[in-house]
Order: sequence, then structure tokens, then C-alpha cells
Amino acid sequence: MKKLIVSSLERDVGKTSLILGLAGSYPGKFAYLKPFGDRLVYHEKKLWDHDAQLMGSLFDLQHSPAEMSLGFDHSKIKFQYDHSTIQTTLKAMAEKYQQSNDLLIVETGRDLARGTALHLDALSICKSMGGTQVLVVGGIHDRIMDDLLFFDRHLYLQDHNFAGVILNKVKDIPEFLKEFHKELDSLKFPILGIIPYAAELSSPTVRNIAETLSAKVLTAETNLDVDVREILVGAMSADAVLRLEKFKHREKLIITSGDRSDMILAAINAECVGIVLTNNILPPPNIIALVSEKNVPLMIVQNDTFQIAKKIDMMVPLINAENPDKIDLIKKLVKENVKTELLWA
Amino acid sequence: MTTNSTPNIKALFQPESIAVIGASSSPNKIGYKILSNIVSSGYEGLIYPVNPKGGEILGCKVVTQLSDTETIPDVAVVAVPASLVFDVVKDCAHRGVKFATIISSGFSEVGNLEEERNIVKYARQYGMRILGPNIFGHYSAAVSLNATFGPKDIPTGNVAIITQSGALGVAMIGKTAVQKIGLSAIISVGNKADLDESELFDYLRDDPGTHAIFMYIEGIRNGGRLIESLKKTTRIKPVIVIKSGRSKRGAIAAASHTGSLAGSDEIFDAIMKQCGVLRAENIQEALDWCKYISTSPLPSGENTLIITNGGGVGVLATDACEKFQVSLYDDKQRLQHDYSAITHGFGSTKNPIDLTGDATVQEYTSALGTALNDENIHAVISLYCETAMMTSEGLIEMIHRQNLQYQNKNKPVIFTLFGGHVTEVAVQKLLEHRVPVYTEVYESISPLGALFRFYRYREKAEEMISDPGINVEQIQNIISTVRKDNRQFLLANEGQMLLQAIGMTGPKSKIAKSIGEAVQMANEIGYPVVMKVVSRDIIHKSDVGGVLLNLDNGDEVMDAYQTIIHNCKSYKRDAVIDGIEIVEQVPKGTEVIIGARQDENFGPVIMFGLGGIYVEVMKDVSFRALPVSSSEARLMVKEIRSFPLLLGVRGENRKDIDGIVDAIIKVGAVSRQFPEITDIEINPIMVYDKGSGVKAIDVRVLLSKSERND
Repeated sequence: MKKLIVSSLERDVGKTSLILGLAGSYPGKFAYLKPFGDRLVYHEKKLWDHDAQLMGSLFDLQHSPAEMSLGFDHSKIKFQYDHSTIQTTLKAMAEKYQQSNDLLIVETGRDLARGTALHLDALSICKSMGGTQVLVVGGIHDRIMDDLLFFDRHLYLQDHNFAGVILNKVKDIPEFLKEFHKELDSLKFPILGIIPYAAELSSPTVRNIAETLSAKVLTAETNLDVDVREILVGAMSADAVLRLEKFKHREKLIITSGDRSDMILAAINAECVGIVLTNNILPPPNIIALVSEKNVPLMIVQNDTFQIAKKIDMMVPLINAENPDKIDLIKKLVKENVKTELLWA
Repeated sequence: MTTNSTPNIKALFQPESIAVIGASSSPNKIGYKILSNIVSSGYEGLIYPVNPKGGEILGCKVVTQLSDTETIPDVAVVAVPASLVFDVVKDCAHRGVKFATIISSGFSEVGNLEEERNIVKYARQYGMRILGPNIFGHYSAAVSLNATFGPKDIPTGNVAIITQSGALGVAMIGKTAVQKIGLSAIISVGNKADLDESELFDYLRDDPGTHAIFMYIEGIRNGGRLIESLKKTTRIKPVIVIKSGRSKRGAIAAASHTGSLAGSDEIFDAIMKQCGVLRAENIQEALDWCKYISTSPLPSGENTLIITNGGGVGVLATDACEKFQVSLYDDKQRLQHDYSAITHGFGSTKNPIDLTGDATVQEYTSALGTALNDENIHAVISLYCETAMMTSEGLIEMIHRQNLQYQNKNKPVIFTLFGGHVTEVAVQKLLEHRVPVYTEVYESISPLGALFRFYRYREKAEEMISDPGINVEQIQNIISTVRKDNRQFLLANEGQMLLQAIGMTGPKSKIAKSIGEAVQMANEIGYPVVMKVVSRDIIHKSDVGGVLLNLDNGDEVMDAYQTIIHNCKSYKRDAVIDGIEIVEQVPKGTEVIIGARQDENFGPVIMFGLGGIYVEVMKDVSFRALPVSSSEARLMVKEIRSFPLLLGVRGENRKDIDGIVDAIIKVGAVSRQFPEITDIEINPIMVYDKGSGVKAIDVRVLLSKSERND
């Protein structure tokens, strides 16, 4: 069984999306592992990784998502394993998957160093499990080049089984290639693909936001898989907000306090896709009923408006099985832009 | 010379002499109007107008300075500009005046709090008390003293008014006159810099001329003292209150459910009920109650009979009786026996007794007389719809006579008359004689309802309240530990220790600092367990995913541990997490909440409600000021709308209400004995079937910033 270890120097470069796209183009049967989980899903007293759940549900994988990770927290993994048992466990997992799959895709921690103390960082996993490493870099042009050249100059090892690099979320590819062609040509390893930036994949859904904020959803629980393209803090008067150009956009989410009935009414009249109520203040029942009637998700959180705006600003949109359009787009982008044949060879 | 003694409040209401500082000869000046009112009201004490110009005003010799008065005035009315008030107060204090009533405004009501405080401080050093500032004065019928700048003629009667609003007070003098409500006293308290309602009650409670007290209040200075004073007063005479600002919620940090639910008005309302005070919705209702209650005898029981000549109005009255909690006499056989001779063939002997439209004066007289002499009937509502069967004179004479007979026999009666000219003439005449007549059913039965509420409160036996035994030393030790740690809240284990100190049982619990400890402790406690974050940065643990339930094995404990840490860090990245509490998961019962807090106005208050959504969404809670007796605690439990759930509905067993009452009293004792505990809230308390007790599942305790200074 071939093993593909997908890692990145930095967090949030789109490893999971890329794996999803690669898996979509893989002709055979594959299994997925994320030894050091970081996107927790707690359901019915069990914990698993969101990415493992996504891969499992999209590709009908044989094993449960809870089996695809060793843990999420250093203390938990330390409590259950030591260096040697981690290695034997990873090997055992690989052997188990080997029986019915011909490819094992392993997603490493959020950045290259993550999990080092537990021997669960990308390079340690490569050593423990064997397999071919693929590095993903992404973001603005300069960040991509920093990562590529840093890896090339300081980390790349000739004897290491390294397949190459995939550049993800690259804005204006022709311009990028023009600007950095010399540096790219000088790299000691191949570039397996350059995937263009797709704005559609950068918009969180209302569900992403609700989960990130640990919000209680008060209304329209079935209407959470809608993209959010604009986020407004409703701190001004309803009159003022109605005059804002951004307020006229579709697919907007409003952050306001539960005692701002005027703002909530303005938001539902302006067809917003969700309302986040801060400071745990419930609006009057008639307002909740009205929002429910309009099928707009109303979410209540403990934090104040500043903290919530900050959290949303920092959040990374996650792909869910409920977003088929996004999933199709990812598969298409990978298929068109990554030399997958080099990976499967 | 300074003194710490406090003058008897009687000297304010019955002064032997009064000085008016700032008395003026100009009729447009307040100093003139007050002096004029004092002179014309028939006050027989010595009057000293004080004005540097000297001379004579309204026949009174003016003294140029206070020190020139022949005797030391009991009361000095201060009507000078605000800038001169402090000097005048100093003069009054040096002269030995007992009470200074400061009419002048320009103090705390406009932000000038410091000078107001200084005035009071100075006066108190000399044993002088201050009424006001920012008042229109006071009136006392006992000595015919009208020391206000309000209307000249105040009808004498037996209602005393205490008002915080000057303008409303002046208007009420006029309003009560129009409504034929005589006053025994009216006192404007204004900014309440020194004297407040509580001390005025000390006089009015024992004043034989006062039968009812009406208080208009905007804000409370010393709630604890007011409660004490009200409780004493309402045992003797009715107190009716109007408080403005019903809708305004107190500025209370929502650090606990108790805090967030304790809007100032909810607490005020609950405490007024607890003190037996009758709270009216509006001024008209309050005046209607005053008019009736101040003149009516108290009932000796709860049976009320309605006598009417119209079926429709009788039904309306029945509805009104239900609304205002007036119980109707229900012995149908006896009523038929007594009233069948008076009612016509198509009338009714059921309560309401319907004499039908052709009822005459004689038939009304007979029916009212029968009810008066029936010891089983304790109050009567007499309704009359105008017909051609009675003249104004006949009606007036009959009602007047019946009212007297009822008064003489100490049985409450109330008359409601509907109709045109004949009725209107009768109503006006009867009102002049202060007969309790009304022109609308609800308007008339509302005061009777208020009278019954007062009656019920008086009938309730006064209970001695003693705090239950709690381990004061242990609680003090817990607080000391928290103080040393520079915290203002108790951690989970400290909360559990506090529960033990007050004799409440909770589930077994331990605090794990690592995932290994968590698994070990859960194994020791036994499954299933609950896990809760212990963090100084997270108060509402459940709301941030800091509590996970029903964990059945070590794997679930490990997953829960990681999840709680993740959730709490997501809520607050830099949250200090002191550990995860592993708690025995107790069997499900009915969840209730008990919370106590130090209210800004009333001191320690306690809240009870059903837990879960009932407290969060329905806000189905009851409040009391502490201390509470066990019967008061039981009333708190009964008062919530969802009380039937505790009684057992749909096959459920009755819950352990005694256990809840016991917990209320214990939590109350902690709040009372430890004023530095600003909030203590046990939520949820699991209540089991009757006799099976209660278990405190979670407790949250907050301390004040500074150490206890009681």
C-alpha cells in the first residue's frame, strides 16, 4: 500500500481541501488518517476530527472517524502512549488499512512542527510509517515563496522520500509565475501543481460560524449551510445600518446584541443569512418568533461583540459534506491543476 | 455643642413652634406662601418668620436672625436659595432646632451630592434632623399645620401621604380634596438626604388620626430599614404604595441568574408583598384604595355577598371578585332561606342576590339588613342600576343609613351605582359624606380586594425567625482562602465545601489536573460521571461547553476532557483552567434554582425558581428579602407558576417541598451572615420525591471586592 503524507509548513493552507481533491481523483481504494487531530467534533460522548469525519462521509471510508486520530491534546496522547507505542500504533493502523486499501493518505498536524513533542510531527510520521511526503504551501505570493525557499534551503533532504510541493490558493497565477520563475526553477524538488484561489471556498457557512463560536442556534437549524460573504457588526442605529452599502449585499451575517430588536428586525427585512446575538441576551419572544418565521438562523453566544467579531475574523472556513458545490469545485480544481499521475505512480 | 441624640419624630408632626427661614412679604415668594399656609391653617403653636429685613408679615413679627426667637423652634422651614442653605442649617443646628425641612432645591437632584452630605453631617452632629431638601413641605392635621407651599385648604381626614415627588405631592393634595379623601398628614421627602420613609412611619404607625398610609416612592435609600418599618406598620394599619420605574431594570451585573433576574422592580414588588404592603398600579387605584380602606372596618372573615338589581352587573361583579381575590359566600341553601322572601319570582337567591329591576328601597334595605345581621357574611357589595323605582333622595337616604349601620357593626360594605342623573346626584351627595360609592364595578371591588389582602396579612401569625445552624467558622475559612488568592469567587471544590458547611448534600466530586487524574478519579467515584471546567475565567460553564454529562467509561472521560479544554479555550483563549471537576452523576429529579444576593437597595434577598428553561426563558421565579421564615419560604415555592410540577402532575409523585424550604432557609442564612458573599446560587438543585430530599448539583459563589465590614 502506498502512503502519502500530506503536510504543510504553516497552518490553514488548505491541506484537507487538497486531500479531498486528490482523493476524488484517485482511481483505487484509499484510507485516511489524521494522527494528531485538531478540529474537534464531540458527538454522543465521542470525539473525532472534523476532517476525518468529512473524508469518511464523502468517500464512504471503512473506518469510523474516531479511529482515524490518536488524540487532540498532548496530555491525552501522553497518557495513553509513549514514543515506542506511538510508532507501533501508527504501524498497526497502517497494517490494518492495508488489508482493503491500496493508498493511505495521512494528514499531519496543522504545521510542520505540530506534534513534535509526541513524535507526531510530519517528519516523525514519515519516519515511523514510511511513505511519500507532499508539502502544501499557500496564501499570498510572498508567503508561498518564503515557505518554498525556506524548505528548499533548510529542510529539504535529498534522501528523504519527498514527492514535491503543491501550491494552493494562489491568486493571479500568471503574475506569480512571471515574478518568481527564477526562484521556482531553482528549487531542488518538483512542483506538483498550482491551484488557483477560489473566492467561493473562502466563505464560511453559517454552520461554520455557529460551530466556531459554540453558538446556541435558536431558529432555522435546517438553514445553516448557506455561505456568508459579508459580516456586519450592528452597533449603530438601525437607520444608520440600513444606509450602509454592505447592508444591501446578499449573504450577509449580522452580529448584534439580543436587546437590539430594531437591528434584528432590520437584518431579517434585509434578508440576511444569519444573526449572531452576543452577550447571551435573548431577544423578546415575539422577535424570536418572527425570525423563525423568516427561517433565518438566530444564534446566541456568551462572548461580547468585539470577541465574536475577532473570532470570526480569525476563523478558517471548513468544508462540510453539506456543501456539495464546494466539494465539486475542489475536485475540479485539483483535477485540472495537480499532476496527480506523478503521485499515484 | 454637639450631641448624638435624635429628636423624637413627633416634634416634626406636632411642633410647639416653627420658624420659617426665608419668610417673605412678597406673595409670589415661596417663603410667603409657606408662612401664609401656616398662619391660615389654624396652627396654634409659635410662628417665627425669619428675615434679615425684620418687620411683620401676615401679622407675625419677623425676627432678623434665628437666635432672636423667644423659644427654640422645634421645626425650621428653610426656604432660601441653595447657596445659603448650609449656613442656615448651621444656624439652626447651633440654635438647637430639632428638624429642618429644606424646601430649597439644587442639591443631589442636580448632582450637588457633596453639599447635601455635608449639610446632613453637620446637622447630625448637633442632633438635628433634615427633611428634604427639594421638598414642598409637610402638613400635619394633628396640630393643623400646613407648612407647605401647596394648596391652602387641605381637607382633614385619616389618610397620610408620603411622597418623593414634590409636584405630584402638591397635585395629590388637590386630587384628594376633589375625591373627598381627607388627610391626616402629607410629607414630602424629596432627596431623602436624612429622614426617609422609615422614620416617618415610626410616627404615622402610632398616630391615631392616620388610618391608612399612601406612599409614592421613586427610589429607596435604606431598604433594610424600610422593610423593618413597613413590617411593623402593616401589622397595625394599611400601607398603599405606588412606585415609579416599574419597567426599569436595576443596574445589576448578570454574573448570576439571580442577578440577571433580579430587576429592581421585581424585587420591590416581592418585598412589598412580603411586608404586607398594598401596591397599586396607578395613582387613581391607590386613591380609590385609600378612600375605602381608611374608612371601612376590617372584615372578620372572607365571605362576601353581592346584592344587585341587575343580573348582568352581578356577573360583572362576580368576575371582578375573582380578579381581586374577593371570596363569595356560597351556602346556597342558607341564601335561599334568607333571601327568597325578598327576591321576586324571577330573581335569584344565589350569590349575587338578584332583587331584579323592580327592587325598591325597602327591598334593598331588607336585603342589606339581612346580610348585616348574618354572622356568616363578612362583607357586602351592593350594586344598583338606575330604575324608576327609586328617587335620588330615597337612594341617598337608604345608602347613607345602611352605610352607618354597617360601620357601627364593623362590617365592610361597598356601593356601586350605575345610571344617569338620579344616580349622579346620589353619588355626589354620598361622596360628600364620605360614603364609599363608586360608579364602576371593577373600580369598587378593587378596593375591597385590597382590604381583604390587608386583612389576610394581619391574620397571618407573625413568626419568629431564627437562622439554622451553619458552620460559620468553616465558611469564614473558605472566604479567607479565596481572599488570599485574590479572587472574588469560589472554585468548585470551595463551593462544595461551603455546601457541606451549611449541611446540604451534593454529589461526590474531585478535581483533576490532568487527563490521567480525570480517568482515575472517575473510576474511583464510579460511573456515570459529569465533568465540569474549573476556571476563574468561566462563570457560565454550560454555555461555553464546559460541562459534559453522562460519561460512562474512561474513553468517554478522555474525550470529554479534551473537548472541555478545547471549548473553554475557544471561548477565552487565555482562560486559566484550574482543572476539571469530576462529579458523580446523581439521579434525575426536578431541577430548581435557589439564589441569594446582596441587593443594592434591600440588602440580602433570595430567589427561588424551577431550573432549566423555567428560569432562563420563563423567568418563573419568586423573591423575598431576608430573613424568611419557613412559611414565607413555602409561600415563595407556591408562588411560582410552575408550582404544580412540584406537587406532582400526570402521575408524578409530589416532590420534597420541605427539602426545598430547608435549602432556601440555609442559603438565606449564608447570605445574611456573610454580607461579603454578594451572590450565592445553587443551580440546579435536584429535588426528589417527598421525603427523599434534595441534592445541590452546582453552586456559584461571588464575593464583594472589599472584605466584610459589617
